[in-house]
Amino acid sequence: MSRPARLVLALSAGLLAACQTAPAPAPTAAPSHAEIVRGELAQILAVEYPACGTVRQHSRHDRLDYLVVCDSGVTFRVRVGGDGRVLITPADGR
Amino acid sequence: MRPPRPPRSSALLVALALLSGGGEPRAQSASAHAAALQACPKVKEEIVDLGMLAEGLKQSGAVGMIEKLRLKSAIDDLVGRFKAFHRGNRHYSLSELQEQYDLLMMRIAQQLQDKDVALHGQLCNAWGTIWGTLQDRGRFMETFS
Repeated sequence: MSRPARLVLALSAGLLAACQTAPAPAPTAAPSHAEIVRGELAQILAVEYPACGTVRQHSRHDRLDYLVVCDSGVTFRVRVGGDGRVLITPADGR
Repeated sequence: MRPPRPPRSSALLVALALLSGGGEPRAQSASAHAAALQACPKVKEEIVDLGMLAEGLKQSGAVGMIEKLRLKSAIDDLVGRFKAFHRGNRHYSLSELQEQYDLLMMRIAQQLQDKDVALHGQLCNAWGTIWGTLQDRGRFMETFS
């Protein structure tokens, strides 16, 4: 086969490969509600207490009021004040 | 800085509180909830939907570029979950979606509260309004379709 013919063949093969649609990615399972809540609480805590890391446990005591236990074992109260500010305090109130 | 470790007596109280809470919200007490968001500062211009909030975040100098992208992605994810809910997918209940919404708003509020007081005030005032749009199928479809 001549060189130009091989070049055309290679280009055609490349174009065909590019036109093929990529296989659809496997659907990822939606995270559970608990996973989402723990993730959001960890993000909120990370701003002031980066050492918290992941959230081990949490409980919700009102719509905008949580008690959160970090992986380190330290516990925080995370809540929203009347003026909309997010307040994070060590759970013993100090 | 590592926060102080609570004394054992406090740790016991915390454990009891967590056990009694069990990760689920207690019945919403009107008096307890009344404290939150009842003293939002007055604002000149109001935000009425998530799109306006996202645009405000985009323009704000309070949030870094990476965090802006993360918050935008989180807002899009939440809207996607509401879309699925209003189309009949019940992977998350409405009360779970409300909690997810509240936590995202808390995350955004925290980014703004010390750096963009005006936008934070708008968010505070819009908290209930935006929720009203998200949870109402008709209003949601009108806004997001």
